[in-house]
Amino acid sequence: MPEAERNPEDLLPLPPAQLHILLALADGEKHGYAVMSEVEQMTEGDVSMGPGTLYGAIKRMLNAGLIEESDDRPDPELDDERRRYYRVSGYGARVLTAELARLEQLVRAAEAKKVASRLQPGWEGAP
Amino acid sequence: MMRSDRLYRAMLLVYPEEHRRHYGDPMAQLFRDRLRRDGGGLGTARVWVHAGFDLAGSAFKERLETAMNVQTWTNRWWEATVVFYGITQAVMGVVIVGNGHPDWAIGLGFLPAVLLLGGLALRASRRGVATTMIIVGSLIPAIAFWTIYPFVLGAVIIIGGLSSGKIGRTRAPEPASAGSH
Repeated sequence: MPEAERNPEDLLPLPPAQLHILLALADGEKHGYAVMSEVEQMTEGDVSMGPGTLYGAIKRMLNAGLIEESDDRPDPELDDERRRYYRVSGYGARVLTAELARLEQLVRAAEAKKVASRLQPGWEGAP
Repeated sequence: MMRSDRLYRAMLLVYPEEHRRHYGDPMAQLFRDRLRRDGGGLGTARVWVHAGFDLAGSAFKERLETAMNVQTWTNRWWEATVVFYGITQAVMGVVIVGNGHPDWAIGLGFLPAVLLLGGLALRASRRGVATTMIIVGSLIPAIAFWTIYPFVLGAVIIIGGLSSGKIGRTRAPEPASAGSH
């Protein structure tokens, strides 16, 4: 099916690892180590993806058409040209946008219900 | 560093071969990067513990996914199953002849064998005929002997073949290119 006809909502909700990788790649193509570092930085160290998790997610994302392997190689003097670089595809960008909108809507619903303050320890309705 | 790299590469054997072929090098590279950044004293131990848990969890997932992948199974084993079943039926025909029932041997042994193996050979040129031959060849022993073995093999061949496009109207998709990732 052509990329433009694919419905981004088909892949929602995205698994956390895939969402993190898409976010890391949102500002440009990166290799595996740069993606891992970016995810650690974004989550202040809460999420640290190992090689197995990272490349397992990358494999699924390539198969789903969310990301593409980049043919462009940086200046060999600046980087190791054997590294593989990945970038967000057009479809991946639309899926990321849809997923962020979904999460935003969820957060708005939680805020409207004042969930965070109501579920503080001590509140009688708290689980 | 070299020893850690070699050990990590050896540990990658727990992944399915295809996954290792595509991602083994970048995974080892990422592990080296991590070791370079966080290694040294306790840091090295932490990197190894993290890599161990990561490897165990993700390798299990990859193995499970490979085992559950009907397409992978059918690509590798469907033809082999048809050949095996065809040969088994031919052998059964010989045994029946040996027991003094040449007429039964033709109907229950040699006919299914010819239909299965002939159907397999004709798939490229006469797809419709080949599909019919394989389905009939799979059904004859199941109906005639009414035991679990021909039922299971027949079901595997018919359902596996039709669902994967090995037989029937739809052609099987080309296997994914090995170097695409």
